[in-house]
Amino acid sequence: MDIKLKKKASPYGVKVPENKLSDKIPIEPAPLPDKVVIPLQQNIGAPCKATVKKGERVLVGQKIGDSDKFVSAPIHATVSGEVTGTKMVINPPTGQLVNALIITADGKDEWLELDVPQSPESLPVKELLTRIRGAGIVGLGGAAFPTQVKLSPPPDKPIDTVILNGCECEPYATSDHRVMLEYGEKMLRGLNIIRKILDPKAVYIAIEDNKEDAISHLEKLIANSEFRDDFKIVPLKSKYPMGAEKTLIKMLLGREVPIGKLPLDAGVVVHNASTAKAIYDAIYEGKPLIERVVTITGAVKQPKNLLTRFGTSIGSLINYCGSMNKGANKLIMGGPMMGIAQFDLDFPVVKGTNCLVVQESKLREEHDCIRCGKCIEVCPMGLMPTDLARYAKAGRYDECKEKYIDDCVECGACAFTCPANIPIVQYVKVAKKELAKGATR
Amino acid sequence: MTPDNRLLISPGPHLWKGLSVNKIMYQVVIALMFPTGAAIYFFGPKVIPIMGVSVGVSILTEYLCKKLRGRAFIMDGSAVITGLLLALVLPPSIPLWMVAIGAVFAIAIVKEAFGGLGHNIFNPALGARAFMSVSFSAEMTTWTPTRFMPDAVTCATPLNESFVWQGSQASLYHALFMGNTAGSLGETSVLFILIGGILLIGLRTINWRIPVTYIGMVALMALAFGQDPLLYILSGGLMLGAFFMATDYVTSPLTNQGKIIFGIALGLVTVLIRHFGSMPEGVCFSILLMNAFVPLIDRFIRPKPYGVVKVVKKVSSEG
Amino acid sequence: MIIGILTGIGIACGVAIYMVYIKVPQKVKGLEKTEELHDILPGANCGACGYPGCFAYAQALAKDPSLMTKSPCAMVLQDPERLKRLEKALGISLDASAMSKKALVHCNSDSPVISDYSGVMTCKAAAQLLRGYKKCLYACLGLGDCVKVCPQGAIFIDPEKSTAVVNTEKCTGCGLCVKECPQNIIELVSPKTKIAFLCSYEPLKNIPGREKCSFGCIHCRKCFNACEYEAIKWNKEKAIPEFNHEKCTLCGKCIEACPQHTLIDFTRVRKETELISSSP
Repeated sequence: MDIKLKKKASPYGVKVPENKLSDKIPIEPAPLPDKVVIPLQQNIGAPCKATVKKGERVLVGQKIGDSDKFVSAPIHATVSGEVTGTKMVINPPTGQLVNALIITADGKDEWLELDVPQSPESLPVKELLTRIRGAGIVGLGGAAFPTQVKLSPPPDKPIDTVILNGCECEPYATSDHRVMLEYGEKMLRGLNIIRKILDPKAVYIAIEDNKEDAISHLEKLIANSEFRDDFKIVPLKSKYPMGAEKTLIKMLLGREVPIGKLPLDAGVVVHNASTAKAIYDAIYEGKPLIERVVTITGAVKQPKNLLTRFGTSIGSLINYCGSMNKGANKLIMGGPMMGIAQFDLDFPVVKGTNCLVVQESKLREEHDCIRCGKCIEVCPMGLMPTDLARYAKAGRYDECKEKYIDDCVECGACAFTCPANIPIVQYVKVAKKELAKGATR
Repeated sequence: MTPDNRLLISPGPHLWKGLSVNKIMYQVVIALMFPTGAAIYFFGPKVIPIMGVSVGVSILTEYLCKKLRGRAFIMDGSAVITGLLLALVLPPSIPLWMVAIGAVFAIAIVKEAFGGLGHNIFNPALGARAFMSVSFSAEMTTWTPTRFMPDAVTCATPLNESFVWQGSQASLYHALFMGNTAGSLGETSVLFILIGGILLIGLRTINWRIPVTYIGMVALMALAFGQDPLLYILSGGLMLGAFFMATDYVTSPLTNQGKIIFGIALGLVTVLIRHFGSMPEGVCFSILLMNAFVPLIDRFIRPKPYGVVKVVKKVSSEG
Repeated sequence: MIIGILTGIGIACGVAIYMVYIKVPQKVKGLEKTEELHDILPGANCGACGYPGCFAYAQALAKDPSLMTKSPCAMVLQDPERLKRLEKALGISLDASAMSKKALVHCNSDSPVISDYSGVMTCKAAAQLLRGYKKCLYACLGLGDCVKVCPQGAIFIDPEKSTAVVNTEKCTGCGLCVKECPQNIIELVSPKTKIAFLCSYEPLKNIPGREKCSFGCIHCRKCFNACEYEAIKWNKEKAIPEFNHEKCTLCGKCIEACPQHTLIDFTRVRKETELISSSP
């Protein structure tokens, strides 16, 4: 299948300020924490149950939580030490309270013996999927969907394209960028494993054109490797939200994912660049998912890209970067467009955290909607955000459902442009929650 | 967390483009300064009190109405725009007390009684002009000449049947374009309206679709009726209406497609009123008429949502 | 000419009189019972019964009188005169004192605000975003969703503590506030309740309520030990007291014994003008 659009800009979306403060800063390992708090639900799907008890000693890479449901991924210890208790923390995407295990580190960083396969290139597909699940790999782009579920499409839905998402359209975030630059070879081998499992007709690597060094580096790597006929790099004009998988599929292939369905219903699977690298770690080196690159940026003294173990408190990471600047009053977990503001500096880093942004922000007051229509111009999903916000405010959730509120990816482009400061995304989230609870009005 | 260094929680997104209602309103006011300046130049400083009274009474009325409704009064520039636009559609010799009544009608009845900014159906300035045309019809149709025109105390506007032009057709076009003809304050100088309008389009404050389709449709219809299209475009309040009245956010459709349909329909109705109706000027009433159709346009002309294959309800279940 | 006009007017008047007085007043067949019931119902159209308006409820009642026991109209239960008329019309008897309820907000906390919140100012929106901005995650947020939805205007917000309080005199127990509260801390209780327990903190033994606010239960059991009439049972699983209203004599010893002032006298009406707070 030929690519339709290469450098044309997306007709929807907004141009956001990029502020990639840390894109030239190499990845640095974060200092090992004294204590980690590991929530037992870090992915979309079923929460895990703890498989270790209080007082037990655990090693790095040892499984501490698992679930027997299909859409789930196990959780591993990220430091070696003793399990000293449990705590309830809020799971930010859903607002629910989940259990978390507290492990006090003993400073030795002792690893469990890794199960490195003899010849990773010749493992059968079933074995690959078992290893990927066993390593607890989830989508590291922020959504945290268990990867082995994405890699096992039902047989009646053939996949013909795989896209590696290196877009990173959120401002400030540079973790995927640095992974592509520094672990490019590993990422490509991980992508090759995905290709082996799914057997598509074409594999594309989508990168925004503001990462020119990554594009040229990967092009060189691919040209000199055995993948030169398989992988194709597609530079895309940088616009938000290019990295959202639905808009990416439309831009690249011209296909639309049917409403309420997954990309595999359109024959496409999209994976994040860091997830591909994690797959390499799991298959070639037998390492479970215990760390990821987190960008700490914004109003801090030194923005950095840190290789962090899950469970580290975000306060300690910010202190390592020189602490928040004076006057900064907001700490965002995730990018500034879709991230969630935090109030607790002890909150742990989880699998879906790709960056932490510190900001100095002002309060903004909501004005009445002036019907300017700017939100409709920018919505990538073809919705009418002004109507959705108005109905959600009035409590007419049934009307919201009729206006396809389920299609909304909550990217925030509408609220970014709104001159009346209406918090459209918050209204949509409340309406979706009420509809899920079963509101009929 | 101690109360002194509390963190702020607010919903995403945490970045903003920097647009605000105030900024948009004041951009329009600055663009309106061009026709206002032209009016003062052509008709003399005696028109300044008309503008002053209109703007002042508008702001005062809005303040009183908001207080009566128990809402907070925000000086967001929308009352200033209504006041200025109202002044620009009135003839230069109108008594000041009529201007005040018009401004009160515009804000209190056409805007606030329908719900305030964002909820009104009709354009306030045009609604007031329609009210004044009916109530004070004599004063609203008395046109005075500009400072540069030869004698006569009252004369006819170019659209009136009794209009007589001494000079060539080209000089008529020149006069209409520059503004040296009789008419209401703001509609005479096409040049300055164009400057203001193109400025707003460049700043992305108004959408180009409405003015372009409106003016284009008027020219086309003029050709169809065997009239001179250039004369039709340059005379009357078409330019002012197309750039500043029809493009008002609240009373025009939301979607781009809807705006094109709006512009085409406006052009059609304007020419029909000018040609078949007994009023010489059709812009005011055509815009008011189409304002009433905007909720209908918004209901049926929607963007196509992503991933919805057929909007028609399907009986059989799909996979 | 004039005769023609007068004839026309006469005919029009005749037709009008016929329509207004003879044709139209015929009761619509099948709706006589509904009209009768609709007269008895209070006509508040609050929607608490689950039907869109009093007329729809009257229609449903006319078809199935037992609906009054399954999902009663709370306002009628509180009004003895209407209740008697309704019982007569439906031919059933209702035990109003057993069926009627009152709403109770299980929170009395002065939990400190730990972050500034800016956004949509409704409880639903604040609760969706990280469960609110107070230290106790189960506390009442005080933004007034329940206040707006109450058809009797029986709920108000205590300005000192920023929590909701129900005025039990005005409350009819319709249950609209229960559905509205995103933190799920409003409960419908029997009007015979004598002592109310005002803490919703899910008790986990390693995080006592004391940390979150100064009115939260700390599971000290002083109330349980103070009762001389065996009216309090200790729920071991949740570590909170449960009250038996038959045995309770309202002596008030448990209220005095509680160091956190988590218990209040439910029979005393909390009015907005008086703002009875539980601190002495």
